[in-house]
Amino acid sequence: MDVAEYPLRLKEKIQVRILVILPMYGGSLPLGRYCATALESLGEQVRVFEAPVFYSTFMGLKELDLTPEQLLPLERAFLQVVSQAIWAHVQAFEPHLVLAMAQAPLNKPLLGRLQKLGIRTCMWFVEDFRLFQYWKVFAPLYDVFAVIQKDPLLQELSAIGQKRALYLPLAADPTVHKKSHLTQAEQKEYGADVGFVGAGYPNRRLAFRPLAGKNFKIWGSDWENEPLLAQNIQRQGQRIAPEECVKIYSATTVNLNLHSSVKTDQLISLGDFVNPRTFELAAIQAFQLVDHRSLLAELFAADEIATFTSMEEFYAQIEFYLHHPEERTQFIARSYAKVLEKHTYVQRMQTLLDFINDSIGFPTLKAEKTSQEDLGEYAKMIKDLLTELNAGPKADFAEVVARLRRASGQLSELETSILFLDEFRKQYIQE
Amino acid sequence: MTTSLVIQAARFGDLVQSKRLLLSLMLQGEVHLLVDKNLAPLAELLYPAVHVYPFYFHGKLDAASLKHNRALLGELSQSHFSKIYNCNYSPLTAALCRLFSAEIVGYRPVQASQGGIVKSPLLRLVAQMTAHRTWATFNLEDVWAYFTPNPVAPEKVNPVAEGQGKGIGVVLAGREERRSLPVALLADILKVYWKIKNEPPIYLLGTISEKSLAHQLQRHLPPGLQKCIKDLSGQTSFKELFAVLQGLDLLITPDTGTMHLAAALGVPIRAFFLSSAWCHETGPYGSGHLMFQVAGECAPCLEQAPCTKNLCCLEPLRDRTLLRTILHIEQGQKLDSDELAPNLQCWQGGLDPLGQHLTLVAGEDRAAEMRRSLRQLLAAYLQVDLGCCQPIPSEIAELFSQDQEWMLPNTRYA
Repeated sequence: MDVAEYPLRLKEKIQVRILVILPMYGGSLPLGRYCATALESLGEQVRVFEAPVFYSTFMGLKELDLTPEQLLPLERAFLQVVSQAIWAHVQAFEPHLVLAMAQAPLNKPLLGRLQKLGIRTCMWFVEDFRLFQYWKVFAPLYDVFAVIQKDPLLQELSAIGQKRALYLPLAADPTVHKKSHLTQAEQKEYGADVGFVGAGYPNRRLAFRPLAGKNFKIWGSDWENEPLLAQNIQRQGQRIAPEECVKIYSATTVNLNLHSSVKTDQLISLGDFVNPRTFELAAIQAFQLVDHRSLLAELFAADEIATFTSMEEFYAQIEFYLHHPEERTQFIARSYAKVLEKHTYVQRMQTLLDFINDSIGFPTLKAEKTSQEDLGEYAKMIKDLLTELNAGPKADFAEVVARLRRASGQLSELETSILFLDEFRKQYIQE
Repeated sequence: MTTSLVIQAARFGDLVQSKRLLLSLMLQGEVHLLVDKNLAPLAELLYPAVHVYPFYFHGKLDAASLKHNRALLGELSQSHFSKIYNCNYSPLTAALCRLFSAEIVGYRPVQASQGGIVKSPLLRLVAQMTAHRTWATFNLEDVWAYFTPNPVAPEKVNPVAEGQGKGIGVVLAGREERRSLPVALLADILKVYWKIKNEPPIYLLGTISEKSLAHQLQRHLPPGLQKCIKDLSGQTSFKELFAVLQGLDLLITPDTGTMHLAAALGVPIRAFFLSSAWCHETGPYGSGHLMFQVAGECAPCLEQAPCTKNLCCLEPLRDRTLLRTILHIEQGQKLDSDELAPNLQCWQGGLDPLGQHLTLVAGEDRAAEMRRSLRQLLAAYLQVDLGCCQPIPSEIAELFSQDQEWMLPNTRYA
């Protein structure tokens, strides 16, 4: 693989190759997928490293009944394998940018290798910086570090040497988060006056207890040992897939959106970042009551989203909005318009790419410096092939090859010729 | 009646060594062969009953060659092959295999997520055996032949080697300088054979780049011998090479494509295997050939790795005992136990029901026991009866019982 020779600005480049590294599990996993979809819709070449496929193996190690002393080297070796798998993707795909979601298994040596090659690296740290600490070590190792909080985090990032930090709030994916038209059976299953989808953090447990007697459904995990709410917790606290969340939100009259907190002395944490649920509910055109956040006002105007700042207000507003459908409808319409206008993952990814482009630029690789040759008689054939492969008009040779490799079954002579040429190039031209 | 397509994108020698496979497939029906454009004339000469397709596998690709390749792929895609035999562990040929819906035998393309190319169980076994090359006993010609069950009998592949009085051929060099004899040594060996064969004509064979070697060699030869020399280096097309080789008394050569071609024509071979060349793997196929193999501690080395032993494999060949041994063997004399210098062996080519089988004529084979056992198990694996059943060392047995071969689901390429 050739080392990047000079930075290339987006206006000069038709397409950026981006390797999105998903975490093995957790809340940032679906967000990573939304990012990948958004980048593709921006016309970039995207490949996703599916770290979740390793999750069961990793968990399997933990079930081997080993002592920590025995388990640790195994886990290290396992993560080394994951790193090597990422490296293999990098070698095959030659990305301009590696975009890691929070918790993505990119270790220090791998980040160093990427940097050496001039491949841009970015982490979107979609976590509360106060809860996770690893960013202090890893943030300086990335070219760009995007976060969902502002100061003091941005100042702290600067202090530890990360000068290209970007505040990038969360968003919604309107292709996933869209109004769901439910059947009667679905409405019955998912519907309720009041609903909540999410994990049973301590502040939520306490805040929701007074609602136990209502038509109130709680969906999501980590609600064990909560007898007061046992009747409200659905499916014994199973995890809910994102697709099903959409149905629940759509079927619920008042969706509660209380940001999580491990503290119980202050149920409304009045924190800074805005969670993904806020944007998702808006995109789904579902009504929500969200606790006040310091960064919320710059994302949604006061008449676009219903908020509360105290528990008294919280309970009062639930009752109010349950009985005022017109007010609900107005909030729904305004927040929906805003989220489409300003808060989609497509817009976030565009912001991110622009930031990288303006601050550091994208590398180009030697192999890309060949001039476009006159396609002549092949132009139509290639256009047809791109359509068939759903590759988009801007797809380059590498992207076409990647799609052909993923394709199963018998190929045409043109497709086979392209695969052969790629192998020929690797064997005789790049080496 | 089957219609087989064999993809052989490797070199001159490999094309010749595909003969047993091709003959076996011909017995089953129609055979088509996809080879590099440069080797197509040779393929047509060697296999007149086979439909040969020239393809630009190597070298430079320009608009015309790309157009040729695409048109050929278009033609092949319209053909209905019963099976595709991919002989090469190569991403190039794996890519071509994607054109076909028929079963792929040998090296089969799979998704990159599964490694890109998957080997058949036999080829996986061969790959494991290459970790123990000193024990080797499976000629490449036979490896390819067993792509098809019950290949044609080994003795039907090449004629028994027999000189026909036309003279001596000398291949000046192999593809790798390290695998070739130095000119002075080659001159000494040639002088002995020339005398043994009663001073016949000598044909120097090689490419145009070996012309200077031909001149150097002649400077090392006595005037009488020089007069018998016909330097054909750089002057022979495949057709002409064919004609020159036919009827020779013998061919002196390192491990080369010309050696395999001569063996296919029944010319007795006197081959010198050193460095990475290993006669148990790529020796001339058939009966009646002799191979001098340098088998020191570092042999066989890796072709790609630089030599760190100062080309020590030349030393046993430079020992004067070699020339004496050649004389003794050719005159049918009884050999002494210390006939050859240490680390030099002389092997005679022969055949058994499995395929090419070498017998030690002179020197010591430290891997004899392992080689015998490996061959016995290999024959059992391929369901060939060698008529022997002796205890098998555990190291050999392990080769045939690798964990991954039985622990993993049997959906692996079988």
